[in-house]
Amino acid sequence: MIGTLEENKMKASFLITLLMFVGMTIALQHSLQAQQHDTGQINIQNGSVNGKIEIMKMNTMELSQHTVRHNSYGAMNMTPQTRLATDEYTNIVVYLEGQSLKRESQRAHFHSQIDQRNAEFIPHVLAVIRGTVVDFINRDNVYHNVFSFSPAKKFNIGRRPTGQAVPVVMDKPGIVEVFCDIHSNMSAYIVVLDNDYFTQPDRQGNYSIDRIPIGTYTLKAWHEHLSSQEQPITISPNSTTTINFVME
Amino acid sequence: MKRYFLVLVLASLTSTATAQLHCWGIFDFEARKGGKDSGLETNGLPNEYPQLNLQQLHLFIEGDISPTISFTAKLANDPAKALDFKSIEIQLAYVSFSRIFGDALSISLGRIMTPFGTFSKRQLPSENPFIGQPLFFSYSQNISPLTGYLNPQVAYPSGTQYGNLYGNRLTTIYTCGYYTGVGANGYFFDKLLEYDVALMNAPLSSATGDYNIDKELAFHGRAALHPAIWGTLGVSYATGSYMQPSSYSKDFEEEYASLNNFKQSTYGIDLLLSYLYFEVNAEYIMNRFDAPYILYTPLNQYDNGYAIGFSRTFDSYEYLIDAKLESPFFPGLYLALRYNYLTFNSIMDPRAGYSSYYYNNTFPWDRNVLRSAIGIGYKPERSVLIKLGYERTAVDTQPVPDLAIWGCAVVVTIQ
Repeated sequence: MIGTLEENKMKASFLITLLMFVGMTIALQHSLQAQQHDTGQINIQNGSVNGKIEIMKMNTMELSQHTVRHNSYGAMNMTPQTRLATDEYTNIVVYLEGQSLKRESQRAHFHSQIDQRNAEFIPHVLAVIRGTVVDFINRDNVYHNVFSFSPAKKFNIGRRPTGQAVPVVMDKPGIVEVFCDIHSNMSAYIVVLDNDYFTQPDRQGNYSIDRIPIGTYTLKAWHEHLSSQEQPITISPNSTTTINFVME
Repeated sequence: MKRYFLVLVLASLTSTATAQLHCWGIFDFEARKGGKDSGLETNGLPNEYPQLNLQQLHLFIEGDISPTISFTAKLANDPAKALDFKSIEIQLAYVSFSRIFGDALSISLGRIMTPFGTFSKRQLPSENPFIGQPLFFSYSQNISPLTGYLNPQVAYPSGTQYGNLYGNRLTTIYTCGYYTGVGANGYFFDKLLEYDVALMNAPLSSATGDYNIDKELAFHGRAALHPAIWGTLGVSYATGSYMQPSSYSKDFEEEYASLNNFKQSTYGIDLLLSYLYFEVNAEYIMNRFDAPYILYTPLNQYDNGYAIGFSRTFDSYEYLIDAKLESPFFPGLYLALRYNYLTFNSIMDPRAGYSSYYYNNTFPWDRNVLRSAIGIGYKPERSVLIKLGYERTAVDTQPVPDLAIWGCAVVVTIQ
């Protein structure tokens, strides 16, 4: 009997220990899953890419000149500010493409903004993830008629008073060219992407994209007037890859 | 000696400026059909049989000499001579000095558009909702820069419609609206008040704006209030002498001392209202010609002493309403409507000058014209516009099928 009691105690202890182990394992798994969900990352291990973009000097001058021209007669007398050649670097979008990157992001359903100020769209180029709501706000005391006929998003918000924000959902990936029907020199580009691994370089052309899951992707650079560049890239755990582009 | 001195001064002011040029253009291919006289108000091309033509062919050249100095030129076929592509001409060529005193002053020198009315604000065909030009800018009236007024009822007792006349007839505003001169424009009070004035070589009705055939400079101007973003109220005024030297007009000159005493004076009020997808533009223009009044016909250079009449004022009143509605659900689609009415004051029968029998006989000096139009446009791309339009004309309230036009057009903007 005594031996039986001892055996039963041991069995009970073993079962309790086993249950605790299983419970802790399940809890740890849940915790990890929850953590993964919170961070929005498939892999805990990731890497980054950075580099510098160079625009050929001649093109830089042409781009600068191209964006300076005055309004034609008939438009309101607003002379757009001269855009410096170095500003063109900020109009480049660098982004990653890859099947495993196509997923919803926390940056979806965010609001971004394009102002119409002094007969210009500001910013001139905006990169967003699919699902982003872009608010168009007229900051001038004259009308602008913002529209796009791009397949990625066709819309016409009409003439809107000063200060009124008009939301437009960018629900398809692609390039959305935006214009004003009243001021023919006004234009803007919205680059709608499938994932949130993108950036726009600083005025020196430097760019960096962090927290990229390990894998093989295509790194692309886009500019409205220049030939797009692309290069395959493999992201290794905890590594930084440097890729420079020359755009012509 | 003075002349040489002036040339030297001007030569010393010249310098070479370089600028990178940007070119863009508008190409308008149209198919038309209409009444046998329907070319009257547009390009002289009768539409009795189906026609294909290029109504608009414009090449713009723009360049920035500096951040505040720019050059603009436009090569185009004259819509009034669209049949003849040898008539490609430089319609615009001017240098702009922007923001000389901030928003208050900018200056343009060269061949520029008249600031009168809203014509200069809406002349790009891609923004023009209709086929062809507005009526009052191209409809010819019974005033000639060579002979003044010659009543067609007297000259052509059998009745000649739409006013055939010796010499050229005049429009209220020259069809294309281009003149050579110097213009100034700007804004005051945080863009509440806008002004745009110019000294030109010619009055509004003259197509010969590239040199001063009328002996004295003409004034064209407009001031506009922008009390709210949705509304603009403008007033315009233009004046200048329009009679041109000829074998006929030398007789008038003898009698009236100078042809400059015959003036064209034009007053205009315009209103622009717009909100969301709707835009309406209304304009009223009162035009006055001081003109010689011909007594006898036929008039020729041997009729000295008989051809001279007396000076009278000939008024016309013009009303325009344009409305445009864009589709909020189908980007690029719009519907547009136009109502345009031109009417004339009454004058004394010129035969009253030699017979009291006609003394109480008065009649309008030209026939009232009503034009209404409807157009539908669609832009599949930003630079491509497809238009369908129909235009109906009535003279003295009677519809004239011969003047009706329908047509379609494809307008391509090449950036």
